[in-house]
Amino acid sequence: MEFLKDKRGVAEEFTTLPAIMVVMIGFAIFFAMIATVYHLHNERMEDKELFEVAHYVVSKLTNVGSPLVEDASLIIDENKLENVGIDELKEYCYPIGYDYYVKIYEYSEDGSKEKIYPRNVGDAIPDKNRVSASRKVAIKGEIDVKYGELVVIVWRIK
Amino acid sequence: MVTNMLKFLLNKKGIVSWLLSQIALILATGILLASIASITFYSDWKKEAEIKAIASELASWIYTMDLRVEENITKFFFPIKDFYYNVSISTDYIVIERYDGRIKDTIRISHPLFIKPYVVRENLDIEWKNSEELHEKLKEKYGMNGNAGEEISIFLKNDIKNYIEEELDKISVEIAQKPLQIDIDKPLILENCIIHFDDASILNVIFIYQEV
Repeated sequence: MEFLKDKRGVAEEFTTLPAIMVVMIGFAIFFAMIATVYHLHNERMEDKELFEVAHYVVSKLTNVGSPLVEDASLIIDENKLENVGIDELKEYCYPIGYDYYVKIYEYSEDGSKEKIYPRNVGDAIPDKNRVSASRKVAIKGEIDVKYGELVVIVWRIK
Repeated sequence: MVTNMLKFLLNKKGIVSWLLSQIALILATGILLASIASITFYSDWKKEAEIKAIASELASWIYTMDLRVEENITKFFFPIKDFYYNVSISTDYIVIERYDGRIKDTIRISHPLFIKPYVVRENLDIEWKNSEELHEKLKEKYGMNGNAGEEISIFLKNDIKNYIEEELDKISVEIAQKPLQIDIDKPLILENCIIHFDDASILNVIFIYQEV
């Protein structure tokens, strides 16, 4: 330990401190990236579950037995829509732990679309944490069969 | 060269600065690298993800069965893995466990189901345990068995729905307390029972069981 008494010695110039700083910043960024990726992965997994539910509801509502479709032909009957409430749909198809909303659009020949279901009820859909799935459908009107789209928006019940 | 080096080696006034902060830096870096490596390569999240994938696949099969419009029996085969895992099913959850965790021995995941299947196991006090028996029960109770060609009146649909839901609620508690333990070497039977009504509407009941 002679060097401690040596007045000719020089103070270390702390060359390692910048190196430590760079290493620590590097690790901090790396950890932050891992945390972000993990968080994103979890979010995607939750979204995937919601998509699965949305797909299930769309398939169920456009299948045989649905209150919306003409039996066997799988064509949505526009006249039926007036008598079918969202509650009736939820009684028919009720994924446990989830809630959903259904919209049906009808396309006119010029390509514009009009919401035909539900006509009067306001939207009670949460702003976030929801996903939607849709399926092209045929809608039987008074005279002819039109081209339309059934959209289901699903979210979790808290 | 050697002569030049000797000049430093023989100098008693020198300081070996490696003993201080450089060694600390190397140690700190080593510990950090080891911890990152352990998180990435040795933690249980990958093992958990593996059993989550199995549960998710089985759940998807159950949902697909509910979307079928024809009666159907499907055998679900569990994937062969290089580890042992234990599967149990109730009317609300699929639970999978494996026992080779590093942080905790048992890694357990539970996958909630958004439809309620009719899970059948031994020693369960139930009136019917598969599609055929349900149709027979309906015949006995309502005069029609609900098969295609022997449709039940639409006016009885709510009664039948309530009856099936009551039976399902009855077994739900019992199954939740003691779920169906699956032998993963044998197939799991997923059976879709369709009850037909005279307005061409249908009612699905999903049975899940394993042949002994």
